Amino acid sequence: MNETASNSPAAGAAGYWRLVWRRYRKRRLGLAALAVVVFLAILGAAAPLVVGTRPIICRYQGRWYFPCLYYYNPRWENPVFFKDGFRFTYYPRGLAEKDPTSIALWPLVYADPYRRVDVGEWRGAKGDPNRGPPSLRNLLGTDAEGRDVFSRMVHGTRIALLVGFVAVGIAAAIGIVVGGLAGYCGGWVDKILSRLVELVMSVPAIVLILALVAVIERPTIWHLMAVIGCTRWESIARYLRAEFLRLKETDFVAAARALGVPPHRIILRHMLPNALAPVIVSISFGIAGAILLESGLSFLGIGSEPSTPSWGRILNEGFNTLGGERPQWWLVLFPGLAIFTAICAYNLVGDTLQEAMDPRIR
Amino acid sequence: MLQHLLRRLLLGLFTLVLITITVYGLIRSMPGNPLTLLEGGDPMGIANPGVRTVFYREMEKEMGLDRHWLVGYFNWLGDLARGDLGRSLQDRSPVSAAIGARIGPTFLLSGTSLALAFLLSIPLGIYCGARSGRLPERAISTFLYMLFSLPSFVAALYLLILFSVELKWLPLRGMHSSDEALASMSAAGRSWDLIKHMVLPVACSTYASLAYYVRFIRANLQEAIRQDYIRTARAKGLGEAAVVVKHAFRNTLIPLATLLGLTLAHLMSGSVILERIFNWPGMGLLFFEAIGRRDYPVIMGLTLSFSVLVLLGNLLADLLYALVDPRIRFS
Repeated sequence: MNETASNSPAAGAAGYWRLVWRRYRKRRLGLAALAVVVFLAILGAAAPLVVGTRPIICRYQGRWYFPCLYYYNPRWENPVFFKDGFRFTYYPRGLAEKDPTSIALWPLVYADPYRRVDVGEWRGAKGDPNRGPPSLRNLLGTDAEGRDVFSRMVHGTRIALLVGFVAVGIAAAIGIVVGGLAGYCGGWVDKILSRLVELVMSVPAIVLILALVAVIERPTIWHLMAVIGCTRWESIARYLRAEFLRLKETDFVAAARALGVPPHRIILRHMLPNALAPVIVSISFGIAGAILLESGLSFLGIGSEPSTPSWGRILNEGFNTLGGERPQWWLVLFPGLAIFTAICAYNLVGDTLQEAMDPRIR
Repeated sequence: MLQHLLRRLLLGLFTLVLITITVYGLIRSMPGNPLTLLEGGDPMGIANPGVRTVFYREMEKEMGLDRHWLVGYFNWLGDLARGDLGRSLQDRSPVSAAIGARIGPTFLLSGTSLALAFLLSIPLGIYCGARSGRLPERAISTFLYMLFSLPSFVAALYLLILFSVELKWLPLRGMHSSDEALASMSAAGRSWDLIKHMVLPVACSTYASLAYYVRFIRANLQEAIRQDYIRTARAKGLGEAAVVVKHAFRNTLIPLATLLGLTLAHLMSGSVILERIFNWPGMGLLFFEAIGRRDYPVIMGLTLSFSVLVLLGNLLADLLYALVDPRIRFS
């Protein structure tokens, strides 16, 4: 059988997405929110290129290295730098001393999210680089330990989005399997799975999450992602189940079944692409929810390791200064704005998508 | 109806067992047990090793740590059936008493904000639904939408900086002024003091649900206004107010009733963060403190109480749903 692009079910779904995009494009607020989402994603992914104390790329003793990879995973920093004592001299001085001919491409802003920058560490920088309120040297000020807030915020974007994507990825995986099975199989499978969904729905998520995080001895953001993912999949499962129940009765699925297409192929190639619309809306809201939960837990100081540059952590440090002599407003204002912007953008994208997909609204 | 209620109750009980068994199992399966963690953190200041061993044995027996964790769990359940939630690791006081002392302030906060949210959202929602598309409505709706995306703890911190730190109009934290100040006040002065302490926490726990309700009422009202019976009501010459309030709005009350139960869950989970920020002596703050101290009996007791409250809220929503909509018969 000659399966051309125009009559395969996936192509039909592609046409549908083009229609959704055309309707989405008409909503200016939704477009702006989408731009913010894309901007945050790029900023988060490229955080070490924007701000850090490790060169993006450098030529050291005749070889090329990418020391900025350290920020993604400390193990990705080449051991040669550890051996040569860069931990203590830091890169600008280390490179100049050990290899005067070295070349390095530095991030846009020289500041570190994990430590304070020493006086005179960066070339041409006079005076203390770790002063409190926002200034040219520290765009968003520094925290109590003298760390640059701007760098913590930019690297915090990475953490926030990582938590959002991974947690919702886990939730989507569970939700799609449970919802798909319930909708496709029907019968007793559906009955059992629906009860399960009802059960998870009635669990007060944050209380459970708090209790779970409390008993983990040293919670990391990975624990957090797993717990958020495992408690927030029920809406995805519910939507997918409803879509599958509807699609199961459609002619093209009946035709596929009559042609002897195996069930897994019907599910993956014929039903799933056509059922994804509400799931994607749910995912968008889910990411907003996960970012909210992560920053809330980090704010309480129980979400992640204290050194993790998370928006909620900075907010917490700001909160601790409020009762004191010198309240540091910049530790509250900027991370608060970041959390709000991210959540608002994802909610708006979800809402606009929902409207663009709803055939009743013109 | 009765059968449906029974089914929901059973499911709720099952959920409770599942939540508590998960938390209990996790506590027990973590490396180290509550007691070794207790020694490491040493929150009780036990310096004498002899005292510690005696204390350890006693505690181990009491907490059932010397037996399999399932046995321990069923012991906990058995004690629970007798109304005993165990004793706090912190000061050895009964957990139920600790929770009982904190439940009042939490209800004061969540009750006030629930009432406020409903009272304010109904007129606002009706206004936004009826005047949909006009400039003031769009301004209100956009503002509420933004509020909905603003986490309550961010709002709380912003308001604290503005009203408590900069303007010094409102107190920074707590539920009352210091005891000395309180003693010199009259009864009216004391209530005024309480109100001043309540303003910010109540505002922060109210605005999110308010924004959600208004959106909800607006959407439902717009749906209702498109119906045929509204056209009929208009055609027979009823005034616009009567059409909107009596005919359209009444039909949006049904889904609104279900929101009540869901809000309870929302308020309970929000209370942990908000009570921490405002140092409000409620259950959420106790939960936060218990987590910091790894006070496991208290964590278990609070997990249970929060879950019970949320499940009761869900049940209430279900009942209200059947109550306000005569078409619904659970069978």
